[in-house]
Amino acid sequence: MADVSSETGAETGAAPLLVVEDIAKSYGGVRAVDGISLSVPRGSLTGLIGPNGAGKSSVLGMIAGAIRPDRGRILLEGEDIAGLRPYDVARRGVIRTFQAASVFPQMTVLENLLLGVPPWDGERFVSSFVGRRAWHRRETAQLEQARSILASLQLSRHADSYAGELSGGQKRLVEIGRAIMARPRLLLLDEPMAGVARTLAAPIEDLIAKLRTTGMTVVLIEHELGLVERLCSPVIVLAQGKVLMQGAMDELRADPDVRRAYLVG
Amino acid sequence: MGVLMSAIGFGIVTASILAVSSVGFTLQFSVTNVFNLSFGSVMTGTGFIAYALNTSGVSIWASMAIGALCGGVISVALNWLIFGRFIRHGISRFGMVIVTIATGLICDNTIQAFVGPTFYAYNAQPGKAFNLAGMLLTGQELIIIVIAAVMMTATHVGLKSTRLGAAMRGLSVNASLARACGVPTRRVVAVAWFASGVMAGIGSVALFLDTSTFAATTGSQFLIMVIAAAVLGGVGSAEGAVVGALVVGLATEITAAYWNPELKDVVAFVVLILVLLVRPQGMFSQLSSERTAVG
Repeated sequence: MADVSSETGAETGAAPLLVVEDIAKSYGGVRAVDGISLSVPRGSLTGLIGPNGAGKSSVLGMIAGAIRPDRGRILLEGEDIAGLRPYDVARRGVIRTFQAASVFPQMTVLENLLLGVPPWDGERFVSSFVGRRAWHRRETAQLEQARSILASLQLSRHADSYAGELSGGQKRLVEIGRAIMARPRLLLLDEPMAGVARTLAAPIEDLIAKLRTTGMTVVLIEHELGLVERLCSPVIVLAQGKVLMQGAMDELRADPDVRRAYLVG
Repeated sequence: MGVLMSAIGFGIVTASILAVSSVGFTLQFSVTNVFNLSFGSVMTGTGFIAYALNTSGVSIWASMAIGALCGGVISVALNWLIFGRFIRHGISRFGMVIVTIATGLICDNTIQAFVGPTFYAYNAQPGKAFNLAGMLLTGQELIIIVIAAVMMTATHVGLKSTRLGAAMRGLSVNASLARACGVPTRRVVAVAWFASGVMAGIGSVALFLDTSTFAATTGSQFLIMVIAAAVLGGVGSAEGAVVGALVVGLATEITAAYWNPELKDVVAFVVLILVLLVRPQGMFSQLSSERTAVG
């Protein structure tokens, strides 16, 4: 696998990378998130589970800046990022994927990966013409990184194919590859197995497991509890917009409230 | 044959002007999803800025360059002062079209209040005429064709080979995803408006040179041809706009040569209606109809 180690440092026992304090969000009269507080340990692969409508994706959207919370704080290494624009959050190293595999269909797979990488000097109007040599050198290095990641995802032969031509599972790999390209401090994976054929589920699981070994901090929303059990620690259960419980998966399975809210009902 | 070649020559000049204008129109639409019907007014405004410079002794080509830069600034300012605010308030796509029409009317009438209902002409000589395979083209017309070719090539290379172009294409396909990837939406949108204004400026001066005289509403009248070319190619597609410009430019000039010059705009309308009937998405567009405006 390509070098995807983030700059997080995966020290155990260090302060949490992300602390969410009492965030809430209502849509119309419906309270989707009702005072959720949680913390994500640095270097962990934290699972976020719960029944449909529990508020998982809303929480993830608020962390990523796509949804502005009605109240509360979202502290990334002490900095409150609640209410920042999505691209400002992304530039602080919080990168997300979406429930439906999201790629830029009319761009090649390689372009999809390169679009996920900071810095963005080449995007400035002036520096598109001036200082090209400097950012072009960086882009050459990024190109190598992208090819390396594609090789690890076994997508090298699709590098120059349009992303829209790939299967659902391959699109998911491209999406995760693009997120890895950004070397995120915090990677938010929203149901990475949704819509993925069984043949590609195992490689995606392997990929996520490998991310953990690189020290990257990951938050994973997933309905497939077996996968969560194999990969995640800790696991946070949400129900009706609140945190129901946090712990290891076997502890959660044994808890009657969790069983009632999610595992059974 | 002589009439046909002559008409094709004029058609290529018209297509060059249309190509620059419709690529500017469609590039901005593809990134922002704002169907900007005040584009013609920006053309008129920049045309008159170039006129002010030109009559002060500045050469027509320098006036075109400065006017184009002013067009970029005007375009960014319109987005910053008007369009962006409506977009951030969540205005519907139809509502946004009305806002751009209103903005265009305000601009046209303001220009008219200053310049009056009279016609103007640049202080520029058409230059020596060249006979190219039966097409009689003046030096001025050849320069317009070269400028359009350079602009189109630069746009194509810029969109396909630079990070800015990739960001624009990403934003045009999926703005939410682009934001989540860290694409600085506002900056890229501002660049799209600026580029659009620059092309409006170049297109307007080229148009006003081609038509010899112009007035406060010439840009807005030309807008229908710009839209016809953009729709024919597929709104949002720069390559499509160039092809659309060629078709509309040649069709209108051949009609003028063989039938009646007054029917030029009618041909543009007929092309527009036929395309909307037969292939509403145009020839090259790949944009989703579900997109929302980006400010």
